[in-house]
Amino acid sequence: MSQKILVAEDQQHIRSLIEYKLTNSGYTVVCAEDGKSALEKAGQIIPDLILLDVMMPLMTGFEVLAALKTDEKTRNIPILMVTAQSKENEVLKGLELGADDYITKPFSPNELAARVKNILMRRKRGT
Amino acid sequence: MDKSWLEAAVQFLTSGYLLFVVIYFIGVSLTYTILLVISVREILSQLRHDKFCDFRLTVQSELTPPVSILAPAFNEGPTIIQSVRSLLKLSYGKYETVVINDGSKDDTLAQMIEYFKMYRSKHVYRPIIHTKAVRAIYKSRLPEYRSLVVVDKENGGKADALNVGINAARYDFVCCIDADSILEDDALQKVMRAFLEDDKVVAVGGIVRIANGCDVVNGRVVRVGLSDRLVPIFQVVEYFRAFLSGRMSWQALNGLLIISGAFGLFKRDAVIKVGGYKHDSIGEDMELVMRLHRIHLEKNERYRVTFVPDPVCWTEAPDTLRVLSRQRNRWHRGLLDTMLIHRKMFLNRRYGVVGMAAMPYFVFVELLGPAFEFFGYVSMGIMIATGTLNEELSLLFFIVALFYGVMFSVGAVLLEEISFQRYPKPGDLALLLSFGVLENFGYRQLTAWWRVKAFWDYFRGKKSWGKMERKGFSKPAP
Amino acid sequence: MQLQFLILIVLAVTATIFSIVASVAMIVRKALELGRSRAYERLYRIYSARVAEFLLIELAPNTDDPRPSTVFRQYEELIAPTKKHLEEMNRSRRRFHRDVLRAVLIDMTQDISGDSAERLVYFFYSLEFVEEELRMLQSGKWWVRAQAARNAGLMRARKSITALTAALEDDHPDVRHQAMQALIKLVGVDALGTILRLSRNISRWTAIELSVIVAGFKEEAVPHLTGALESRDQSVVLFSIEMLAEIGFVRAVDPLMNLIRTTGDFKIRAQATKALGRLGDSRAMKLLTELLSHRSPEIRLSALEALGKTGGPDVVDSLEPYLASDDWEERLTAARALAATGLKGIKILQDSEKQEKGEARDLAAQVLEEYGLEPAHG
Repeated sequence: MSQKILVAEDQQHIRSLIEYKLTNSGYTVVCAEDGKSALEKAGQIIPDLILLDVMMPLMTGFEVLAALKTDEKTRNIPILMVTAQSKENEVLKGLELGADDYITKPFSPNELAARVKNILMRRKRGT
Repeated sequence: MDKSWLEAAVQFLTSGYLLFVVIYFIGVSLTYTILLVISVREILSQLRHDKFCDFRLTVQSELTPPVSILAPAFNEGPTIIQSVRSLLKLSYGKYETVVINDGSKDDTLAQMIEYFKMYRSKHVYRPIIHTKAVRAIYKSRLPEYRSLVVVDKENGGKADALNVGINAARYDFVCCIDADSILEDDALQKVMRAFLEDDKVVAVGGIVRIANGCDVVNGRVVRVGLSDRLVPIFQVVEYFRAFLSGRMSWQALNGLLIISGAFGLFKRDAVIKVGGYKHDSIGEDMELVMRLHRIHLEKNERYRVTFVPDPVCWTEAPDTLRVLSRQRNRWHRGLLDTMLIHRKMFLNRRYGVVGMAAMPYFVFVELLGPAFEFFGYVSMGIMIATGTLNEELSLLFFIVALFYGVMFSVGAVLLEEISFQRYPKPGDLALLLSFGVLENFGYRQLTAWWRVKAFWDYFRGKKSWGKMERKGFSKPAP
Repeated sequence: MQLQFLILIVLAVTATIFSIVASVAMIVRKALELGRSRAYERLYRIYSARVAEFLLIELAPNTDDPRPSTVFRQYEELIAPTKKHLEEMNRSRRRFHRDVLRAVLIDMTQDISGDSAERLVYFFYSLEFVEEELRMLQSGKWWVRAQAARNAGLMRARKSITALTAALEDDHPDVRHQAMQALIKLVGVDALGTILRLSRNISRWTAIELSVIVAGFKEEAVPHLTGALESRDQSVVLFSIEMLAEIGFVRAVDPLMNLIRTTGDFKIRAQATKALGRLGDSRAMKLLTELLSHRSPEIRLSALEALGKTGGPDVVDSLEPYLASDDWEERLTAARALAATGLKGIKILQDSEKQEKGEARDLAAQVLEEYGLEPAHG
């Protein structure tokens, strides 16, 4: 049973890239286009990892992150943040709020897949 | 014998007058068409230019000049904390927020001191422009509110409060707003660009939109919509007329006479040089801009007063006819007052476009237009009463009045549609267009009546100063 | 009489009807556009997925024949079916599809790095998007040229470098900006030299756009900036001075001091003085102290500020007299400069607060508060 990854990203082209890469790497990918639906889907399917974009309309990635960490069901899901380059304070804020790792745009899809794999393996070993 | 002579005279006068009004309307429509065409050209050119500007750069660069926001407040108790908090969260590089408490009778000042943990600062107040006494300057102990300054002063009215703000401001650019203006996040970025692209610019205005019917969250408009009450929707169309067709075209000719008091950005030095706001004028926002034109033209210095068509500011419009009538009354008195103060420029070649084109337009179209129209209806009334009704002329009058009104309104809504399309639903657009037509069947006549009455009030008020009390700050003209 | 009225009435009615028709047309257009944008979104989704596949699909390794042309052949195979499909369409449909495809590729190119980014550049060339942009750079309409310049940069099309360099001298400022940014994307910091050499009358806005790019290059930009100090254009020199101050590389100190001594332009001198202050190098001290007595008030103020930033306790003696200057702004700047130099200067201000009266005391109190040295009482 392949691992489930939730991708919260408002821009279509980035969603397509991530979806293709991760599906090809053997994961099951579910997409959300904004913060609200990301929270809903996270609560419903309890993914093994969440990829969270910081710049989203209506609800920012940080607000989603904070909400995920307060909800019992989703508190322990590892989170990989996607931030824009040269926004160091974004990265720090995310890590402080509880994200496990981050990747900056422009990103290499290979690197993304490697980080995803790493986080999932760390989690597996941890439990 | 006498009676028929009287009848003939009445008929001659009223018919003559109606004919005059018809010709007047046609003349105004032609002028309006010209302005509309200029506006369309200007807006399209601006839109194209906008596409290539990354406004967010102003936030990232060290070269961006800092701005002082001046927000005069009088008895804003219930909303002041919310308003100030949203002002502190604008997307811009370095800027300070100066709230001027104009001797509020309620707890406006106390609330701010408590919420923002403020202390009496030793900052020296230098009255470069003469103002009423300043009691104290407050700053916050907390680092996150470091850019907030509160100035407490004796009551003196909005113009005086703004002058205090100008005196106390640290930076070279001042942004004069209302305490309850809802600013867009990137308002400062967009408006500063006008200064940055041309250093001859001394003042920039932005578009004020109507917030009724929009969703406002944390002091930001998150969803644009139309109110479900009639009165605000009429005003939406009116504001389009005033801003999109009026100001865009005038600024292209460097004849822009008004910058809204709800949002205007000025070079601090320029304002100080002309003496600041005039504290006993009724339309102080327009009066300042006129003075900027006047002094620069008299000194033969190159300058520009310009306008950014991006929506930058939202404001709550009156939603009852009673409040609306008071507002319009005051605006019109302000317009009249300003024109009288600067009558020297009227049709004076020395003052270029301002004196020869912009002022006459304001006087004959904006100021006197409602009066001409109103007396047209009066004439018709007289004609009916004396049985001398000239059917063709009356029909013509009605149709031309209708056409002239519809053209103004529909043209303005279409301009909005071509440019900003802030109202996304086709249903809203249809509603606005129909209101643009409907307003000619009663609403416009009503506002014309209010504006005629304003003349009467103005001249009556002038004779007894006691009657002209300023109860805090009423909404400024758009 | 009758006829004239009739004509006027007919005119008025026609105009009203026209307005109504125009309104209806606008409403219909809006509804159609809503539909069109949905169609656009759908197509964007499709091409997005397809391009993702093109970019990320693993190609058979070519260890026995690693020439670039073989790799390119593989890329070509990937997009061949799409190209064929496009050719079979009618003109307007092809236009629409190409617009969406171009948008997808351009969006991708801004967010992706690594091997996939290389493939993207190939696709831009192969699908003839680069050709199109080069043609559009010659358009008579400035907004078309500007968009083409921007796209050329985003497409990483090195073929466009010559055309873009020519566009640096275009009549319209927006075209010039986009060309600048594109060249920097394509050539890197070395484009800065050419850009500064060819620029004239940089507005504050252009300066801000450039500043963000230049700041990113940090020390690499310094040689180009110091070279630009010799430009004949005042705005270029002022820009270079500000950027040198911001990047903060101490190699800029000598050229700046030299500039102060040789230029006749007061504005440039004042700005360079301020910059020396920000660079904080003690070599400039002597020159700055000389400038304190310059006849231009702007230069004196800049020198006061700069000494406050660079100097230590030694400059306090030079600064103190200015606390008694006739000009308020000089007194304020001198006070701030004193506070910036350290404890010795601060002590002078504290004494002033205790002993002096009126304005001098108030000024000292204000500056001490700014430095957080005043007890804050409510």
